[in-house]
Formats: sequence, C-alpha cells, structure tokens
Amino acid sequence: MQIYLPIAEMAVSAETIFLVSMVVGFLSGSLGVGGGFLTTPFLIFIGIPPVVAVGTQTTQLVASGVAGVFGHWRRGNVDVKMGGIMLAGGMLGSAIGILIFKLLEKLGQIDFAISFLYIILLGGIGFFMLFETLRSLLIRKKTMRKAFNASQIHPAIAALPYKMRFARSRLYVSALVPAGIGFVGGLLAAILGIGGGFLLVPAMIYILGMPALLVVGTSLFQMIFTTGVAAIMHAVVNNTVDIMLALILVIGGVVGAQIGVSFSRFVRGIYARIILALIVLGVCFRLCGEMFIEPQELFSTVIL
Amino acid sequence: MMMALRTVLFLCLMLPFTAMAGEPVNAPKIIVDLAQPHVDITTGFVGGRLELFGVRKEAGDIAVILRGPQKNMQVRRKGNVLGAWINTDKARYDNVPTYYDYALSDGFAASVPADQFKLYGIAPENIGIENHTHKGHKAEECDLFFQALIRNKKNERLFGKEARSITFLDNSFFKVIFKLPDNVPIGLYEIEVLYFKNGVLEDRATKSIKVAQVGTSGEIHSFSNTHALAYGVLCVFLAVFAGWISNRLRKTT
Repeated sequence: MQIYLPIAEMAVSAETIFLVSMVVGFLSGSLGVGGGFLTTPFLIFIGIPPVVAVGTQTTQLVASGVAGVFGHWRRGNVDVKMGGIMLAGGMLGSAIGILIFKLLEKLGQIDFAISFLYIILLGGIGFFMLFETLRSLLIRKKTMRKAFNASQIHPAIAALPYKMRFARSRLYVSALVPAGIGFVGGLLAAILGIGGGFLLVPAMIYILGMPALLVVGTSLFQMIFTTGVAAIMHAVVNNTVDIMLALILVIGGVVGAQIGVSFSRFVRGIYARIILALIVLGVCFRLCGEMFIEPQELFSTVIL
Repeated sequence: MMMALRTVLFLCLMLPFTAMAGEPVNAPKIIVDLAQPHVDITTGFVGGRLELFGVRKEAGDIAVILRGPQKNMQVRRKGNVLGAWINTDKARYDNVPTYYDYALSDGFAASVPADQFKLYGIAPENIGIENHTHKGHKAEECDLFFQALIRNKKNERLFGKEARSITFLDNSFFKVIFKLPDNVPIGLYEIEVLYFKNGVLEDRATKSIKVAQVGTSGEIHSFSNTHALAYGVLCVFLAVFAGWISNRLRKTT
C-alpha cells in the first residue's frame, strides 16, 4: 500500500517501511540494541530525503527508549541524578547538533557528513562485534569483563572540577564527565538520528566508572529526553519530522520488538550477534560503495 | 527582454485581428478550460492527473505548457577528494519552475521554427533562466550545469522527458492529459496554451491550478508549518505513548 508522506511530500510503500521497522524492532527486542543506526541509512536508501530520515527517526528513538526504560526503572536501575546531568549535556549537544546539521545542509555537505559518520561508526561497531563474538566462539570461554574499580579512573578525569556526589552510582566525580558523555549522545541523535547507546554505554562504564547494572537504564532514561528535544528541534528548525512516517516506524518497531522478545528465548545470543554484526557491516559497505565508487551522475539539484 | 517579448506578443495577437474584417476584434482563436479546478493530494495519493479541454476555431498548431511554482535552486557537482566523491562545485539558478511538462499537437515541431521554441519556453531545455550565479565557470561549464539541472529534474520525474500528445476529438475539439507523479511539488501551477498559425503565435490562453494537500495530509502539512512547536511536541508525545504501549504488551506476555 502506497502512502503519501505529508512532510517528505512523496509516496512510499507502507509495507516496506513497516517491515524494516519490524526487523529493527525485532533486533532491539531480541538483542537489546537500539537499531537507529540501521533505520536511518535504510530510509535514505529508499529515497527519503536524509534530512527527513534523521528528523523522523528521532521520534522512533523516543518510543524505543520509553519501551525499554520501564523495566530498568522498576528494578531501580536508573540513576536519575546522573541521568539528569547527562541530559543537560545531551540537550546542549542536540541543540548544537541541529545547528551543525543546518550548516552542513547549507554547505551542501550533509549527505556526505551523514554517510561518512555512519561508515566510521558502523565499520567500527561491526568489526568489533564480529571480532569479539568470533573470538569467544573459538576460545569457547566466556571473556569475563574485568571488575571495575574506581582507582582505575584516569587521573585527568579525577582532576576535573565541579565534583558531585552520585549516591545511586556510589561515585564522586566531576559533573563535566557525564555532561560531556551526554553531549556526544545529543550530537549523534541530532545529526545521525541514533540513540548512541553503543557509544554511551561503554563510555559510562569505562570513563565514568558507573556500575554496569545501572548503565543501560540510565542511558535509556537520558536518551528519551535528549532524542525528544532533538525531535522537537528538528520539527521547529527544519520542519523535517514526518508524523506519518514516524507512525509507521513506531508501530512496526513495537510489533517487531514484541516478536523479538518472545523469540529471544529460542535463539543463541552468539549467532544472533554474528548476524547483527554482518548486517551492520553490510550497511557500512553499501555506504562505502556509494562514497568511493564514481557515481553515474555527478550532478545533483536541490531547492534552496 | 520582457518588454520585447510583450511587444512581439502584442503585435502577434493584434495583426491577424486587424487584418480580418467582420470578425470581432478580440475573438479568441482558442478557448480552453480545466476538467477540475484543483489537484488534491490526500494520504492515498500516488500521483494525479490534470486534464485540459479546448477548442481551436481554425486549423493551427498548439502547444500546452504546464509550469510548477518557481523556486531558487542549486546544482552541485561531485568531485573526487582523497578517493571519496563529495560535492565540490556548485551553481545557483533563480526562479526555476519546480515542475515542467508540455504537450504538442501532431506536426508541431515541423511547422513551428526552433526560435519560437526558445522564445516561448517550449520544452524543458528552453525554460528561461533569468538569473544564474557561477563562480569561476567558463561558458561551456555553465552549460554543463544547466544541462545537469534539466537532467536531474527529468530523472526526478519533475520535468517531462518528451512532449505529450494533444488528442483531437474532432478537427477543433482537443484534450490534453498531464500525469503528475507522487512527488509533484505543491503550489500554484500555470498552464499556458499557445496557438500558432504558419509558425507564428496568433493566440494564447492561460489557466492556473492549485496543487495542494487536502484532508488529513493537508492538515498535518499546514499544522507542521504554522504550529511547529506544538507539532513537534505532538510527535514526541505519540512516540512516548507508543513506547508505553509496547512496554504494556511486553509485560503481559
């Protein structure tokens, strides 16, 4: 069924988008990844203007954040104070991200910037995931994550001013660190339409030294607000949030996540992770191809 | 340019009338009208059609031109920078129609000289660009950019690739159908009907038609423009609600 998108001002196949968001929802339900990094490139592949793809994808992030945060909240695994500081940085990051986005669009380099950042991010994550998974498969030994202790915090980070006490995380650390991590998350959300969990979660563990138990819940908690602000700003500054597209994405995501959650009991995590890594690398190679192989058409026309 | 064009037009229009005695001075050679006064884009819109009917009083050649609202455009050219293909060069064109399509009666090209095509903007290659800005481009490069603009728009299905035909139901009554793609730009469209006799313009008629989103689609479009903040908040609220539903579902299973 073709459906007309009022903001993108074009018709798309609703089934295709529904199917993709279902697959992404499935991945997030069964593997616990956000999946924004797959949706945005896909929407661009099928011809949705990059600006609309990114702007609209931010609303999907809000939905998946809300869906995920409740469980962590009930178990008390959200450090609200830490999340609050992070989202202060995140909102600033979103605002600056929108400005950078607007500037790149004006310079005619937004498509390049989005592709380039995606290639780096997807390539990095894909190779890391594949390498880690294959290694653990070959060694047949669970690689135990080293127990983290506060003395490992880098001295440069320990020396930063504006120290604050975070009771829930049992940390006494400069507020600049979580704000900085949130800031990067906000930038990624606004420019690429991704939640950035794969980047924020390790940063919160290894740089901030937060207990691993609290990290996912807290990062989801702040992501809801950061991506929510990014969505509103994309709507106000760029008018690139398509509510029709968002609706299909969100519903597909909900259905897919539902299937994914039930399915996750039957699938061996290790194979699922290999498949995910291959999907991620596939998207990365496709973007690389577009960037490095001489295009048939060198010219493009945009309305100013 | 415009003055000259107007003068030529005026003369073209007046000459035949003054020459013919007995006929009323302002008797038009063609009369046209649209089948519908507007094109509506709804949520189910996958492309539309625009139908024009007309009558010619005597034998002659007819061209029908459909032009979308004008916008300023930038044409960008990719170059190779360290192996990657990125935009490195650009040119700006002001007031380019966002949509262009045209229809010609049989044998039009044979009886109307090429300079008339240029003068009246018949075929996408002849759309008059009043103002274009090139930085450091030689003439042949400017031409390359202009050709790219036309080519890009044709590939986007926004400029007609070739002339559509004008169907004559009898010797005088004709009909033209323009098919519009799903990505047709919204706005006010101008339809210009040109009547040539012996290769000279003798009459012209214009009609305008509004292409707009209506119904749910139209309301969303205008609401997102007039109340951008409320619209953004609504989108986020919708997402929060969907996330909450998703969580409820997960809990029950």
